[in-house]
Amino acid sequence: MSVLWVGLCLFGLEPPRSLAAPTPKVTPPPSVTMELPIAKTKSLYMIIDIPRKLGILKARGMTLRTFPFHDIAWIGNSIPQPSSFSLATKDPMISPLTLSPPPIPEKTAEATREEDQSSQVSAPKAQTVEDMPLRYELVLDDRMMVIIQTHHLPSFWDNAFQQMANWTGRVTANVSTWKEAFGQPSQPYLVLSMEPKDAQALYWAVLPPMPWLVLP
Amino acid sequence: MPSPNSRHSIFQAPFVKALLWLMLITLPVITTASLATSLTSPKKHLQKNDAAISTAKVSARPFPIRTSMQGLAPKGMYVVVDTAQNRLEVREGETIIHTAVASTGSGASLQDPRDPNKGWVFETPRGVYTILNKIKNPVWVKPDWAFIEEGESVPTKPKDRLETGVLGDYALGFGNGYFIHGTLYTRLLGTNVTHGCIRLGDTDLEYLYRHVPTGSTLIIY
Repeated sequence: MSVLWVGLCLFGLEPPRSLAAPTPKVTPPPSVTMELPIAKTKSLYMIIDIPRKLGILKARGMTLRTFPFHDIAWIGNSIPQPSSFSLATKDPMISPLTLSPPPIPEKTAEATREEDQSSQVSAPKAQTVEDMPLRYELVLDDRMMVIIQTHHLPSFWDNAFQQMANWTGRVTANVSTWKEAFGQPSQPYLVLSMEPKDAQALYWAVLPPMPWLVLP
Repeated sequence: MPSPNSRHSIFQAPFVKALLWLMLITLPVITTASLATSLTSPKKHLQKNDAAISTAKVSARPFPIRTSMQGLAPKGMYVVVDTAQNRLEVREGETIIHTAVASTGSGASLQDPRDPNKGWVFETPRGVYTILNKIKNPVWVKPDWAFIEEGESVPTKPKDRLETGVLGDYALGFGNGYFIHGTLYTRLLGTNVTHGCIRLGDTDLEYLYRHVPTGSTLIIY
């Protein structure tokens, strides 16, 4: 009988848990530590994954849409570690189309009812993703600027006069900041180049105060 | 009450005795066989172990992270709406179960002629929501903007605001007066024309009503 019990102990039983090899302690990367609290909210959020050249629109930790970048460039000092922001403004800000309803006529209830029956549906006015700009700036918490531009820019000569006017306007508008322009920019600028349809879709997808996570 | 030597008598029962002898004989045979296998193919055995260790290393790092992120994902069936493409998807996990052409907010704004400080922007709200209720044969309680937009005076009696048959056969509410509902203007599906609600065709709306339970997550982006 004792042989049986020894046999069972040797071959039939597992060592107790306390004797098993200890599980190594897992430390999540800082990007995940930062994403988790954002993912727990009911908000959509954007992750700019610079090593993978990818913008990822997420909700609840799930990817909803990706925006591949052709080129990424930093102006000024790049961000050394993962940082979270919230989107402050979009520039230019596309203002919504304004509906102009017909004036409310002064008439009797009976007359109104008669007109109701003959009234037709007016053509819908709407802004679509194709109406969104191809080049724009996103201000994150006043600490960082993201410049979005398309990979396929139109030829300079296509709209040379307009571009020169824009350029002159931009330079003269910032006379007070010329001194800063010659030095190192105080805040980092991230320049992202992407396909036109992705640039428009990104503008559509992001609304202030959406949380952003930039992973350098 | 059992007798004092009942334990002894169990081991002496012929069936139990036979079982014990069988175990005693088979255990050394199995052990010897497994040892022989490992000795005859040591390389294979090592590779297998190495693979097991490396898998453990790889999975040990992302496993808790993945688990914590997966825990945030909606349980069961959920609905995802893309306002740019005007597409609606019913998903379960990562599988898309049903897709539909929808209509979402136009983004247009309307000024209240009675009050210069009041106005409306007809946008579909974006974020994570919950399907709060499901209604059969919904009746539209027309808000002020519906009258102003048509150039009509806003009625004072609540009954004058009720309109039947314009929201389709079903409506799924997700809060603040927003619904997923049907439409009379099916030719406008796939475009941004609504006042903030999500419109669907009759078949897709019925699918949602029948399959998506109340309390399901709705993600709009």
